[in-house]
Amino acid sequence: MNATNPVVNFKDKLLSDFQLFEQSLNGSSTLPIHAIRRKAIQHFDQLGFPTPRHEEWKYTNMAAVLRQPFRTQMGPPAIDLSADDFRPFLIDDLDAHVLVFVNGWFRSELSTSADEEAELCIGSFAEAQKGFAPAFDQHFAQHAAYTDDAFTALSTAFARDGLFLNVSAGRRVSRPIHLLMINDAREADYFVQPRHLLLLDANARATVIESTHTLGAGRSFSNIVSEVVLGEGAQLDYYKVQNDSPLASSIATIQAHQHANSLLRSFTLSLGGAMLRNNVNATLAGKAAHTDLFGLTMLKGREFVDNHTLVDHAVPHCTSNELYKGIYDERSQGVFNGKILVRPDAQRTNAFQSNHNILLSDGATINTKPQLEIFADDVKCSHGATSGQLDENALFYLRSRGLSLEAARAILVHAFAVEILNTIEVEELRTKLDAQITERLSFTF
Amino acid sequence: MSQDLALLEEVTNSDYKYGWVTDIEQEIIPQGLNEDVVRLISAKKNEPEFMLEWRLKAFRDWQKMKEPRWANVHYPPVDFQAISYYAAPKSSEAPKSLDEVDPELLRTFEKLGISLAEQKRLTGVAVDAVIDSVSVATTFKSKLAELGVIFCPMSEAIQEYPDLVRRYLGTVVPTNDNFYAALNSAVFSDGSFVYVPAGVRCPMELSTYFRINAANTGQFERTLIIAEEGSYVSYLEGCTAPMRDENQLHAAVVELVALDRAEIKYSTVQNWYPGDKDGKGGIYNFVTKRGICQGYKSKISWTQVETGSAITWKYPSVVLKGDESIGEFYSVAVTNNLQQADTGTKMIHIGKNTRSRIVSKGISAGKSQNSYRGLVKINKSAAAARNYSQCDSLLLGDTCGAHTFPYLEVSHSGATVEHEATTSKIGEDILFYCNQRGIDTEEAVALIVNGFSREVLNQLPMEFAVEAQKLLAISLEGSVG
Amino acid sequence: MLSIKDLRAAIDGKDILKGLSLEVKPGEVHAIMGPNGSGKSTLASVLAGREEFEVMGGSVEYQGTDLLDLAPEERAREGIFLAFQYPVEIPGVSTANFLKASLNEIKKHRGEEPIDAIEFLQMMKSKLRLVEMDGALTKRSLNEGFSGGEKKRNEIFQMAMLEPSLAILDETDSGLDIDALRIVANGVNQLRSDANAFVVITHYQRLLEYIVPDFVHVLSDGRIVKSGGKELALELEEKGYDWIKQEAAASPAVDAV
Repeated sequence: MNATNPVVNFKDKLLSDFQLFEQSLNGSSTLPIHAIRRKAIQHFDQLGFPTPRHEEWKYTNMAAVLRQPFRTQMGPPAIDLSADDFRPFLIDDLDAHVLVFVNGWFRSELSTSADEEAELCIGSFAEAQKGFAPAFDQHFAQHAAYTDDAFTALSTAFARDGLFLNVSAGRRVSRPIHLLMINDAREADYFVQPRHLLLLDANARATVIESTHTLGAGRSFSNIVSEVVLGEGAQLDYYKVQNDSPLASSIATIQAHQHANSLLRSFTLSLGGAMLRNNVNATLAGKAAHTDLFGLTMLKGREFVDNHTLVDHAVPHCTSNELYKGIYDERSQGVFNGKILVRPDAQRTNAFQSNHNILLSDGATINTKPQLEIFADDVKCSHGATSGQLDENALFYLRSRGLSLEAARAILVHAFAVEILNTIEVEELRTKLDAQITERLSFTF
Repeated sequence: MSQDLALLEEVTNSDYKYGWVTDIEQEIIPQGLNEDVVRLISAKKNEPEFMLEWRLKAFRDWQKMKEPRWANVHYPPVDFQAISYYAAPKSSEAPKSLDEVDPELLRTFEKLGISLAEQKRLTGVAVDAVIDSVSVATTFKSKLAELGVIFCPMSEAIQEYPDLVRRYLGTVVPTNDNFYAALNSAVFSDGSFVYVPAGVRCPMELSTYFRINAANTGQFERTLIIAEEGSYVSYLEGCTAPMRDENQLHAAVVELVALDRAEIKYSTVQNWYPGDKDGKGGIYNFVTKRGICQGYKSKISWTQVETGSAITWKYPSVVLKGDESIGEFYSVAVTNNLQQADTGTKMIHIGKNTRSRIVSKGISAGKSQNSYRGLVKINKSAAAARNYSQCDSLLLGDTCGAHTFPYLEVSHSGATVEHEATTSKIGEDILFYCNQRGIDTEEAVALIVNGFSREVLNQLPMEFAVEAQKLLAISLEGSVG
Repeated sequence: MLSIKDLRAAIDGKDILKGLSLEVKPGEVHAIMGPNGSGKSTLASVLAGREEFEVMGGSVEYQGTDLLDLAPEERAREGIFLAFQYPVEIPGVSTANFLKASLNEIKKHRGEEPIDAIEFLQMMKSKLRLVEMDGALTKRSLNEGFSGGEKKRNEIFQMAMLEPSLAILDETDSGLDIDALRIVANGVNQLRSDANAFVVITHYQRLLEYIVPDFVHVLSDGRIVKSGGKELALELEEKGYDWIKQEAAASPAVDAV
C-alpha cells in the first residue's frame, strides 16, 4: 500500500468506514441486504477507483476529486437547516412534493408531506430497508450491477438513505416529486452517497426532479445511484438538474429496467459543477418499451461533464431516441459516450442517437464516442455526432437584421439549447432553466 | 422467410478460389523467435549494421509489450514461438530479370491472375510480386527509373538506397508503436519501396501482390512510400494465401510520407484466406498502416476492400501535419461465416485548414462480426479543420453483428466534425422488386451490396474496381438474409 | 441615397463585380436584371456586408457615409434591408422574438425607446395582413419548415416591420407561384414612399409587371451594360440577354443613370 497516494488513502478510508459501519450494525447485520453490501464492498476493494486506462473512463480522470480529503457522512447529520436555506433551489410556482435530503439523508421535517396521495409510497430509503416493503428487497441492487462498476459497488455497500418511491398499479402521481439533494460544505468537505429506488407498478406514472445543491464554499462529492423499475405501461419522467457550485462533483447513475409498453424519459441538464459523471442506462426488457434520453450541457470555466448512456435493446419491438447537446465555453470539457446495444433476437428495434456540440472557446474540448453494437438485422439504428461552431449563414442573417455579433451569437446558442428545453414537460422547470441560460448568455428577447 | 432460409442453407459457403499451394522447393528457418533469429534474417538479407541494430531494438521493445486485446475480435492466444519467421522459394535469390525467375513461380502468379510478363500486363501497372518472405519479381523497373521513380523490393532498397531508408523507415510507424509493429520491425523480410522524386507524376499504377505459400509461417512485409514535393503516386496491393487448417499470421507495416503538395493514393484489395465456414484456419491480419501528410497541401488517400482474413485488425491512418493537407479513408469490409473484422482509421489533425473524409461500409453476413473503429482528433493547433465521417453497416441475416466505435476528440472551436452512422438490412420490398424484374435474390443482393459500396469502389483504380466488385459478390454468395 | 462607383468585388479569388456604378435616389425603384452568373446576387451580398466577398476597389456611399466601412448590423440599423434569395432556417428562434430583437436594435440606434409588447403585437398584426401571412407562422422557428413561398413572404413581412430606407430584394420572385408573387409585390408597393428606395434584383421581367420600376439596369459580367426605363425589361423579355451582350461587346460600358 502506498500511503502517500491520496487516492489510495481515500479508498482505504472507505474500506475502514465499512468496517465501522458493520460493527455499528449489531443484530441487523444478518439481514439479506447486508450480505449484498458485504459483496459490494469486496467488489469495490477489487475494482478500485477507475482510471483513464479503463475504456469507460478514457477521457475522465477522477483523481483530482478522489485525492481531496473528503469526510464521509456515516449517519444522519446533525445539521441545522431551515427552509430559507434552500428556498432559492425551489422551482418557482411549481406545485410539487418537495423531499429534502441533507448530505444524503432524508429530512422529513423539511419536506412536504406526501400522505395525501393514497396508495403511494414516497419516503425514505432508510425506512424502507427496515423490511416493511417487500418490493424493496425484491429490487434493491438487482438492477445496478455492482460487480464491474466501482462507484455502484461503493453506493451499494453504503446504501443507507435516499428516496424510496413505490407507485402502485394504475396510480398517477399528479404532482412532480422534487428531490432537493443538499450537500453542506459550509464547515467541511463531504462525500455523500444517497441511494434511490423507484418502483412504478403497471401503468403507474410519476415525474421526478432531482437537483443537487452545495451550501457554502467547500467542496462536495456525491455518488448517487438510482435504480428504476417500470412495470408494464408505466411511465417515469426523470429530470436531473445539475446547476451546482464549481466545486461540486458527482457521479450520478440511473439504471432503469423497463417492462413492456413502459416509457422512460430521462433528462440530464448540466449547467454547473466541477466534475460531473452521469450514467444513464436503460434496459428495454419488455415488448414495445420506449426510452427517451435527453441531455443539455452548458459549461464554462474549468467545469467538466461526462455523459455516459447505454440503451440495451434486449427484446424485439422496442424503440429508443436519444439527443444530447453540449455548449462548452472557456476551458470547460465535455465527454459523450453513448452506446446502443441491440441484442440477438431484438428484431424490429428502432434506435436513434444524436450528439451535437458547440465549442465557444479555443480552450474548450469535446470528446465524443457514439457507439452502435448491433446483433440483429431487422433494425433501424443510427447515430450522429457533430462538433462545430455557430452557423455563419445564420449569423449573417441575424446581423443583416441589425443584431450585433454578440447578440446574434447569444441568440443562436440559445436556439441550440431550445431544442432540449422544449422537451421538458414541467413548464415551471423549463422556465427556470431557460431563464438561467439566457441570463448566462446576457441576452433576452 | 422460409425461402430465404432455404437459400441460406443451399449455398453455405463459396469456395475460396486461391486456396491451392505452389509446390516449390523452399528454404524455411526453424520455428521460434529470439535475437538469433532476428540476426539470421538480417544476415540472410546481407543488411548493413544500422538495420540489424534497428531490428534488435524493435525486438527488445516487442518482448516488453503485450498483445493488444481492446479490439472487438476474439481468438486464442497466438503462439509466436510456433511460427517460422523466414520462408523463401529457393530459386529466388536475386533474379536479375524475369527470365531468371522460377517458371513455377511465374505460373503461381499467373494462376492468381497476375501475369508478370510485362507485355501481357495491363497497361500502366507495374507489379512487385512477394511470395512469403521475399520479393520474386518487379516489373517495369527500368521504365520507372527513367523518371527517377524507384519501385523495388524493400530488401533491395536497403542495399541500394540505404540513406533514404534510414531517413524515413520507422518515422511514421515507430518500431515501438504497437505490439505488431514492433514484431514486424524485428522480423520483416521484404515488401515494397517506392520513391517518387519532386514534381514527378508517376505514369502507372504501382502494385504489389502478396502471397503466403509456405505452411507455419507468417508474413511480415514492410512497405515504405515517399512522395517528394509536388509528386503523385497511386499504389495498389493485393493478397491471397492457401487454404490451411491452421491460422497464419500476417503482420505488415506500411508507412507513407507525403511532402509539400504531394499526393499518395494507396489501395488495398485484401483477400487473404478467411478460414472455412466453421471458422477453421484463415489468416490473422494484424496490420499497421499510417501515412503522414508532412507537407503543405499534401494528400493521402486510403482505399481498402477487405473481404478475406479470419481476423482483421487494421486502421490505415493519416497524420495531417502540413497546413491544408487532406486525408481520406474509403473502406468496404465484408465479413461472412465466422470472420471477424475490427477496422477503421485515425485522422489526426495538427495543421491548419486540414480536411479529412471517412467513408466506411461494413457488410456482415453468416455468423461474422464486423466493427468500425475510428478516431478523429482535432488538436489545439488545427484551426478550421474539418472532418466528415459516414459509417454504414449492412446486415445480411440475424446471426451476425455490426458495430461502430467512433471516437471524436475535438480541441479547437473553429473545427467542424460530423459523424453519421446507420445500420440497416436489405429490405424485403427491394428484393421483391428485383425478383419481380427477373433478378434472382442472390444477384439482387450482389447488386444492392455493390450500390451500397459504390462510393468506395469508385475510388479504386479502374483496373481493380471490376475485380473488387466480383470479389464482393463471391464473398457474399449464399448469405441472403 | 446610394451611390456606387466603380465597385469591384471577388470571392475566393474570383472577380465577380468588375466596376459597377449605380445611383439610387429616395423614392426610386431600380430593377437589376441580368443572366445567371452576371453578379446580381453578389451585388446584394456586398451591399449587405457579407464577409466572404472581398471588395477589391470602388466605393459605396449610403446617405453620406462610407457603407463599406460598416458591419452588417450597422448597415441594417442605418436602414438597409436585404430580402434574401435563400432565407436561412434558424431552429429554436421564433420569428416574433427575432423580429422584436431586430426592431429594438434599430430603435436603440435611432435613440428611441424599445417597443412594448402590446404595441409590437399590434404592429405585427397589421403588417401580417399586408403580406397575407398567417400569424401562427411568427410563433414558429424562423423559416423552419416554411415553404419557399412562405419564406419569401416572411422576408417581405420583416421588411414591412423594420421599415428600411433602402430595401434590396434579391430574386424575391424566384420560386413563387403567381398568387404569392402578387402578394409579395403588393406588399412592396404599399411600402413605397418618397422617402425610401428599392433595388429589385430579378431574373425575369414578370415581377416588374407588379412592381413597376423607375429604372431598369442590365448587369452582365460584373458591369451594368445597359440602363433604361421600364420598357427595357419588356425588350429583354422579348429578345433575351444575348443581344445586350453583343451590344456591350461592341461598345464600352455605359454608366448608370
